[in-house]
Parts: sequence; C-alpha cells; structure tokens
Amino acid sequence: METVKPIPQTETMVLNVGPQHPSTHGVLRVEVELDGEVIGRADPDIGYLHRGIEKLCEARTYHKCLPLMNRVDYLAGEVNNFGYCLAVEKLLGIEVPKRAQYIRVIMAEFTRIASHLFWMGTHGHDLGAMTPLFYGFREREKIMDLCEMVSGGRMFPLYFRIGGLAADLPEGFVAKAMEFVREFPDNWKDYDNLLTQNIIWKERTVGVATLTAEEAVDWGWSGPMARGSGVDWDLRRDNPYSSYEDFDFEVPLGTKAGDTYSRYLVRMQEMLQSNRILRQTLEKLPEGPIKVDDPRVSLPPKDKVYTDIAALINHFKLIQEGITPPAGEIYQAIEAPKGELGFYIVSDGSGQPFRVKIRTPSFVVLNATNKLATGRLFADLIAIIGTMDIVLADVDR
Amino acid sequence: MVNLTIDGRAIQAKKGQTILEVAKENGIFIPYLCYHPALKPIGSCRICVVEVKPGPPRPLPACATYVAEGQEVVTNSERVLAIRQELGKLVLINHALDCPICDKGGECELQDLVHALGVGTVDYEAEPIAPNIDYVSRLIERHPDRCVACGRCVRICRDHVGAMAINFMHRGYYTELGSGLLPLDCEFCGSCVDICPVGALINKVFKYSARAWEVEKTETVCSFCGGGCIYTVQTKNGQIKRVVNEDTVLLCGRGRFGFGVVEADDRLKTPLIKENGAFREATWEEALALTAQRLQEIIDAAGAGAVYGVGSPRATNEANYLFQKFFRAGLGTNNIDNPARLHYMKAIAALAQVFGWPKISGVAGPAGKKAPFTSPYTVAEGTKGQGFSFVLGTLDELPQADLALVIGADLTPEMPPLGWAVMKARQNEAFKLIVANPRQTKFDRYADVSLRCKPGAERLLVAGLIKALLAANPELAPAVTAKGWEEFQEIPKKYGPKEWANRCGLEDFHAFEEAARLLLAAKAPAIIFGTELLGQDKGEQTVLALADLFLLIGHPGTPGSKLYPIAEKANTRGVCELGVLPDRLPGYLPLNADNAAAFFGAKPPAAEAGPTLVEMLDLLEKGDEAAPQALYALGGDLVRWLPHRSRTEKLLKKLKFLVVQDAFLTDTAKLADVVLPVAVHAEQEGTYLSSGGQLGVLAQALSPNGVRPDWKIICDLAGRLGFKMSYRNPAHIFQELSGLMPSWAGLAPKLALPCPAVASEINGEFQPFDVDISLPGRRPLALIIGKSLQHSGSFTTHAPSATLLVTPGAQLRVSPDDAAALELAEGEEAKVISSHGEVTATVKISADLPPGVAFLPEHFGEPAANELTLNSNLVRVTIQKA
Repeated sequence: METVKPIPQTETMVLNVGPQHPSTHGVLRVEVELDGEVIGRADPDIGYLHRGIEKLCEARTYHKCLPLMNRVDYLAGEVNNFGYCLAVEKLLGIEVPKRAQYIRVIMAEFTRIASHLFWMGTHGHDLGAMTPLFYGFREREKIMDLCEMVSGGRMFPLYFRIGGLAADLPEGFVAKAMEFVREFPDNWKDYDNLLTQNIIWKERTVGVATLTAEEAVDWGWSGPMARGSGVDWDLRRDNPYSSYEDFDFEVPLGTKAGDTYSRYLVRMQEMLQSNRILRQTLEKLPEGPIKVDDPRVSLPPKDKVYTDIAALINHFKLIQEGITPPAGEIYQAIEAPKGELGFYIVSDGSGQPFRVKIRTPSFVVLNATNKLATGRLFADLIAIIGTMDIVLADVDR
Repeated sequence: MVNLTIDGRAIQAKKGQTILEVAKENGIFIPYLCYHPALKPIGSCRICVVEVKPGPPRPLPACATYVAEGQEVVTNSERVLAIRQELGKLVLINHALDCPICDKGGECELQDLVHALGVGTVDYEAEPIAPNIDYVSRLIERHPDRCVACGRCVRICRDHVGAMAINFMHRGYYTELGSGLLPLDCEFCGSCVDICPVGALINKVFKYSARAWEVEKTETVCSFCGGGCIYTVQTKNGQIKRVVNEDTVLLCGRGRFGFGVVEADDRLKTPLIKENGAFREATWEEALALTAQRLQEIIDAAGAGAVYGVGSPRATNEANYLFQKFFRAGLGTNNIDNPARLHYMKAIAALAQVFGWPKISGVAGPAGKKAPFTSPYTVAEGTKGQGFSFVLGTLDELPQADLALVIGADLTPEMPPLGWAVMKARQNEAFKLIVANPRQTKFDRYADVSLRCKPGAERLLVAGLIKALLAANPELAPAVTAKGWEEFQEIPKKYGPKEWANRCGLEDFHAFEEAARLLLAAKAPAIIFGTELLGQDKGEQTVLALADLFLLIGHPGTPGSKLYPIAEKANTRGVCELGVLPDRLPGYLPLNADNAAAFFGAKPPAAEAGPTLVEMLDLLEKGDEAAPQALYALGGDLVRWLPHRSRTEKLLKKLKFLVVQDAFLTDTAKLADVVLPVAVHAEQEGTYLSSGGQLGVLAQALSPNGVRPDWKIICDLAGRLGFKMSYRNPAHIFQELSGLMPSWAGLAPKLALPCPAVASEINGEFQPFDVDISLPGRRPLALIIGKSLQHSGSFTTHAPSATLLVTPGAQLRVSPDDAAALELAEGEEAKVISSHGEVTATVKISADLPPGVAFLPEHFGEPAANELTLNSNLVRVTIQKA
C-alpha cells in the first residue's frame, strides 16, 4: 500500500506497548513513536524473558542442556531439542537409527502443526476473530495428548536424546496419530472457512507489512516469513536431515506481495504439508533400535546397569561426566515452525559445551519490526506482531 | 634424535623414549591402565598395544617399546581397537559392581578407560571369587574385588617408598594384591591409594566424605617436615577432605593423613590472658593491648635489651622476617634466636667454618615489578657465589648422585622426601649407599655398607673413613680446593685402624675399607645427615668432620654431589636464612655488613650480637643483668623441645612477662601471660623455604575462623609499641625481604636455592674436630631421643590427626637382649631414669637396636623425652620395671 503520507512536523507521542500486553506474545515491549495514529518509529525492547540459556549450558553436561532447549521456543518444545541433538550428533560424528529419525520427524511435524495452530488462533484473536482460537486449540489439544503419550510431558515432552530417543513409541500411538492425520484436513477446512475469505481479515492483513523476497533475504528471514515473501527455501527439502529426503512434500510459497495475508496463506498450507509428511512417516515407520549402539553416547538399559559392570561404568560416566564430543565446532540448523533454528556448538573435548549459540528465527524476524511498522497505522502493529509469529522466549533465550 | 611416524605423522623423539611417552608428548591418545608416568613400565595390562613396523607381526605394548629410527607406529587400527576392547572386557570379567559406592567413582581410570574404549557389555562369564576385603588395616582399606592387578601399588611401594608392604599374591585369575593375608603394617603413607587406578585401595579418612567432583582444590605446601612437598588440599564445605600430590603421587603418612590437626578440638580459638594463675578467654584488642602495655613497661624500665624474641620454624618466611624486623628496626636489638639453634644451626655454624659464610656478587637487579613471591634479583652472567650455601644440595639433584652416605639420620621419619630421592637415586644401577647409624634404620636394607656405631660416635666413623681412604690411597689429595690438609692428617693418625674401629663400636676395620673403596670410586658422592646427629651437644663437631670428609671426596661441581643437612621443620631453613639469629642478619649477613643499616631502619645498627637461645637461658639461670625480662615467642615450644625440660620450665617462670603466639596451648604457652592464637598452614598465605632450598608458596584453603596469621599479629603489636609496619599481604612482605636479600637471586615459587646459574667457587679449610665422644654418667643404657615416622613435632599429636591411629603414643624401644636382661615384656610400663629426671613409658622390643641402646620418640607430652636430657638428644639412663 503506497498511500503512506509523510509525517507532518508536529509533536509526536511515545507509547509503550507491553511488556505485559496480551497481543505481544510474551513479554515484549515496543516503544512506539506516534504521530497521531501513524507509527513514526517502533523499537522492540527485548530481554524481559532472558534466562541465560546459552550461558547455563556451559556448566552442564550435553544431556542436561536438553530441558533448557525445550524452553527456547516453548510453543515448539521438542523441535528445539531436535536441532540441538542433531548438532551434538554431528559433532560426535554419529547418525541415529532410521526408526529414531522417523519418530523425530513425527514429533517435529506434529509440533509444527501445533505451533501453527497456536499462531493462527492468537493472530486471529489479536485482530478480532475469536473463533479460530477455539478451533485451533481443539486440534492442538490432540497433539498435546500425543506428546503426553510418548513421555508424559505435554508442552515439553523431553523425548529426544542425543543419540536417539528416550524410549520407543508407546502402544497405540501410531493408531491415534493416524486418526489425527485422517481427520486433520477436514478440520483444517474449518479454519480456512473462518478466515481465508473473511473480508475483515483480509482488510486487516492484505498489504500490511510487506517485504520483497530480496529484502527478506537481506533481513535474514527464514521459514514461513521468508516463504511468505516468495523466497523458495526450506531446509527440510534443501538441506535434508533426519530422513526428510524420504518423504514427498511441497514447499508452499506466498504471493509476490509478501504481506501479512501471504504469510497467513503459507502457514495454512504448511499445516497440510506437515500432515502429508506425517501420513508417510506413520505408514513407512521402520522397525529397529531407537538409539545409537555406542556406549559412549547412549545410556545402557537400566536392568543392565544392575548386573553388568561395563553398563554400570558407562551409566556412571554418562551421568556424571556426560558425553564427551571431540574438541571442535559445529553448526546445525533445522526448519523449525518459525524458521531456521540453528545451533552453533564449540566443544573443548570435555563433558560440558564450551559455548552454545542458538540462532533463533524469532530474534531475526523481530529485528525488522521498525521496518515493517514505520508509516503504518498503530492498529497494524498488532497484525505485524502476530504475523511475525514470535515467541519471546525464542527471542531472549 | 630418532625419526619415526605415528599414525602417519612424522615425529622426532629422543633415543630411549618409549612409544607411549612420545605419543603423549605429541598429543596422540593411547589408552593405558598399568602404566603411570612416575613408575617404570611393566607392560602387564596390554591396553596400550600398537602396531609397529618393522617389528613382530603381533601388536606391541607402547609403554614398554622403545622408539627406533624409521619406525611406523599405528595406534588406532581396527585390529588394535578390537584387541583393546576385548582386553577391557577381560579386565572387567569379575569386577565388583561398586561404582556408586566406590570412593574412586568419578576419578577412576578404569571407568575412563572402559568408557573411552566403548566397551558396552561384558560377554564373558567367570567363576565368582569371594572377595577378601581388608577392613582391618588402619587408614587404608583394600578391596581385591575392584583390583585390576596393574601392580602400580607394588611398584610405588617397592621402588619409591621403599616399604615393600604390598605384593602380588596367587597366580593367574586368582591374582590379588595384598600384604600376605595380614593387616597392613607399613609406613601408612597412602601413596598406594593415590596411585591405584581403581578403588582397590581406599583412603579410610576420606572414605564416603566427598566425591571427586565436589571438592575445591588449593595448591599449597605441606608443613609436616622440611621437605617442602607441594600438594593439593581438597576441601568441601570449608573442611579439608584429603590432600594429594597430583604430580608424583608421593606423600608421607603425616602429610596425607595429618591434616586433621587443623580442626583439632584443643586448638586455640581466642587469645588467652592469665589472671591469678589461670587463663581466661580475651578479645584480640584486650590481649594485644595488654601485651603492648607490659612490653612497653619493661622496655621503659630496663631498655629494649630486656625483651627477647624466639622465632619459629613453623611460621612463614614473611612472619619471621617481620619478627626480626620488629626486634631490629623496632626495638634496635639483636636479642632474637630460633629453636633451630639446637640442631640445624649447628650444621650451619660448622659448614660456615669450613666453607665460609655465603657471599654472592654480581647479581642483576633489583627489578621493579616481579611476579608475587619472586626475587627481584636475577642471576646475571657474572654472578659469583662463595660459601657453604653452594655445597647444600637440592632435593631434585640428589637422584643424580652415584653414592650417598647417610649418617646420623633415620631418613624417612626425619624427612620422607629425602628418602624418596634416595630411592630414586637407587634406580641408577651404579648407585651405592653407605648407612652409618647407631641403630638399624629403614635404609640399612638397601645399604651396600652399613656401619653400626656407638651412639654419638658418628664423627669417629668419619675419622675412621678418612683413615681408610688414606690407607687405600696414601697420595689422596682433597677433591675441593682446601687449606690445612697437612695439619688435618694428624687426626686420623691418632689411632691405628683397629683402635678407630673399636672406638666407634665396630668389630674390625674391614667395613671402613669397604666404604672407603666405594667413596674413592664415586664420581658424585652425597652426604646426608640429620637431626639425630645434630641434636647431640657436639653435633657441630660431627658436622665439621663431615665437611672435612666432603672436602676430601666431594665434587660440588657435579650435580648431586652435595651436603644435605636435614632442616627438620617446614621452615627451619627459612627462619635461619631470614636472620632470626642473634649474630646474623637476613641472608646470613654479618652484623657489620655494609648494608646492615637497612635492617635497623631508623635505629642505630646494633653491632653487638645478642645471646643465643642457649646463652639466654644461662643468663636467666645466673640472674645476670643482661638476662631478658620479657620473652616473645613466635611458636617454638621451648619447654617441649629444649633439652632438660625442668630447667627450661624453671627459667621461663623467672620472666616477668611471656607472650606466646601458637596454634595450641603448648607446654610453653601454659607458662605464658598472654597467648595469641595463630593460623596454621592451610589457613594462611606466605612462603616456606624447604630443607632443600625450595621456595614453597602457601595458599589459603580454609577460613582462619577468628585466629590470625602471624604477620598480622606482629604488625599490630609493633604498631602499638610505636613502630609502624603496614603491609597489604604476605606477597608485599616478600617483596621487601627479597629486595634485601641478593642471596636469594633468581628464587621463585617451586625453584630451589642455590640458583644453578651462579658460578660458584667452592673452597674450604680443613677444621680439626673433637674426638671425645664420652657420654656423662654411669648409667648402663644410652637413650636416643629421635623422631617417629607418623609425627612431626607435636603438631600431629593432636586428635583428630589420623596418624594417631598408627602411632598413638610414644613407645620406649629396647633391644631384645636388654629387655631379657631387664625382664621387660612388650607392652609393659617401664621407668626410664636419668640424672635429670625420670619418665614412664610403654616398652616395645625392637630388633633394630643393638644391646645397650634404647630409643624414645620426642613428640609426645607424655612421656616427655626431654625430662631426661641435659644438653643433647643422647643421655645415659637406667630402665627398670615401673
């Protein structure tokens, strides 16, 4: 929308949005300079949810970092661990068994759907459409139940381990998951009906916060944000990990406009694609072990610990000292629901990481707030925060 | 140099190195279990196998294979890795499932190895063996079911400690390590515990009190002898849990188990003031104010000369330096001495007569900024040194000697590190050992020649040796440039060979001839002597004799060929070098030295020497005008350690005012008017100068809990007497004192004096010595007062020092013949009577003693050995049933 008028030379007003505001998706404070209803400047002020996760890792064994990682993007708990485990496994030079890879994909794609449903619900709610939230949470709840089945945890299943998984899938999981997969396309239509052609929704999103493909790349965007601007890039397809190359799926792209509505469409389509991947993984799920057969990485079975000295020793060492990757550094990124989630880990050969740097998509996207909001109406700021699909835990870490 | 490749990498190595050593140096990982850098390899575990070309088709153990030119070594081939895994499984075949309760868990080399090898499960089965766990032995617990039969404990005990207490028992699968199915009865040094890769040997004091990863580590210096071992104190929740030597593993029993003294129940926690004959607890302010007031009154009435100071071999260099500064620059008197007067200073005085007092010239500096505890002076190209300090050997060079004459010293109890150095020297096959003692000691078993003389006859032995040397080579000329050789030859000529032998108490001259033959053949002979000899009233004469012998056969230019007098306590050498002496300034400078004024500050330099400790007591006895009225003792329990206890006690009671600074209410402190509690080694910073001249830096591992380090007390007291001394910390004091001592040029933490870069010119003058060895009195037995292995002074005799489990009290050792004649049985109480007092002690019959000689350790308050003595650690006694 090229109707932005130059800001008249009058006195502006500085307004604090947040940090405690329902539409800021966590504790985000945006310092907005307003000239009437028009935004002159929008500075996101972050750090309210900084927990020092990266620093905490330096005093923990690699395994003890996992519960922290769960809480980086808390709407996609296990996906964070996915990236972290892959990074450490790359450092160790190991690959987890096929079954574990498939199960990881299952958990990741379920989480993606859950995360997108949450985005859809809150984004809609922020802009005045309350119903999508209820529908979205209906299906999200089913995913939470599935998470609960595998490990007991709902938001933070803590199911992945370096070298594989904590345990195999429980009985009945595959059937229940399949049921979800079968029903999901129909449910999806409910959301689609609510918003996609909704005139108010379109008024609030079409043409709001546009960014071209080139600009999106320059801003370092990734994931649905970049694809919403037409950047054809998905790590699952372009840099496959954990057997993603085994599955057929498409990478949905947005319209040329690169606006909030385009990004809405991308995320809606992505849910269907995730469902497609899920169907394939559940159908093709191979039999076999769920963790690598290396006593230096995987905990021995508990009954062995009580009877076999080698198992006891390995258990003791893994718990007390932890796994010890060789000295070196590694970067591993995955396609998280919000974009590229990368882990840069430096090992000094000891049981604790020397440095862990987490490249989170929310942080990168949030940088563009000022660019997207300047010149827009104040009400658009709510749409912008919503479309960025940020989680402040993911920004601050 | 040898060129070889390891895993394809071209590597240069020194000839005689093993493949494992070279790989470690180059950062190539080869796992091992039975190897330890401090020990000779035996290649028993075979975990370190590598493929070697050219070589036999089977893999070879890297720890026991030497590098050779053109060798190609592969450390990680599939075959080798498979062999290691399988060997790992075999080691584990019958290993106890004890990791969760095993003390080694978390620092266990077997755990590390098994995990690193990737052994996931043990798929062998073996006949279970009922473990024969030894819970009975003191201090050390043995779990054969955790043993991997690497033999490290056997090797360290045999080759380094020299106790030979542990050995392999049975064969093959049934092999275990033990002490012959009996409880351990050894030196209880615990080195086997720390060298054990697994938890087969456990430190009972440490057991279940902390995990390896929970402790905080502080590197500091051991304070239980003059050896100056640097060890790591491991603390948890502000308590010492154990101490370990992370370098060579070796520590002695009192070093490893004696730390409990820090939290002894009877440690002083607050200052004490005596009122109406009884002590009451006081605040620091009260105690210091009272001390200052009383000293001031005495100084005002009778002058500064009325105050006498006794330095302490337990206190740091910094505290002792401030102590002498307080007396010299604060009061303007030389009225100070230290308890080493009774032993170590006798050696110094004699060596100074023969080799001259130390002089150093041409040092560079002082430089402005230096690392903490580093001398600001450096040794330059033209630095020259003279005097006795350049014939004193360091502990590190002793193993390079090819002969050691150990005389008048029971080496291990007096200074365990010296014993380890001799054991290390023994690894050289050409090394010869001559041991000369009135009683049999540990090192007699390793001696090529043992000379068993009468108590006190050590210098006659030396005269006999010189006679034998001259008999073997009449043309013999002194090896060291020396004056007076012609005149000196009169001494050996006094008697014939047979007569010398008889006077020493030997049957014939043959042993002398044998010893002389070894001495003549030696290229780097060392002479080691200890407090048992120095404590005699004529100890100085014996050291003269030894110095004369050294002039004759010593090669001070050759490493190792030096004199090794034993400075008994942690800082005995330091307290002497820092001039806590009535006649010498810091650095052994004479009182009339050019820069003497620097030590006296604003006061006029006192050119007159003060009375020595012994003279001071004589003055007190005579009631002389020059006798002190007040005494300030910086530790140093005079009543306990000076001979003739009842006299010392009587004389100290004559003082108007006595202030004692000590960690315990010692026998001397009980007589004091004010007692000031001080911090012990692990609670303070500072430095010690070891017997071998090494500078050890103390680091604070514990909070002092209300007591204060010596230096702070001295500063406070000096300030109250109008002499302001303010220092930030011990490093600040060290900076000042080392700036005044060019003789410490080049000294830095862990380095030893003298600096090897100094060009030393050693020459001497033969000094005649007294050959009269008669002991006064007619009583039938000669009693030697000496040291016990588990104790250091009285320090370790305070519960809960764990060494008390091994040696809970003093036992009167009597030879079997004497015991039979006196009808004494082991464990009976016996009365020991000398002309000066009597004590009662428990009898232990000991075959180490020749008939007519008895032995009593000095450490305990009951029986107090010095009740019996007059002026020497030798005394004639009568022993009878109590």
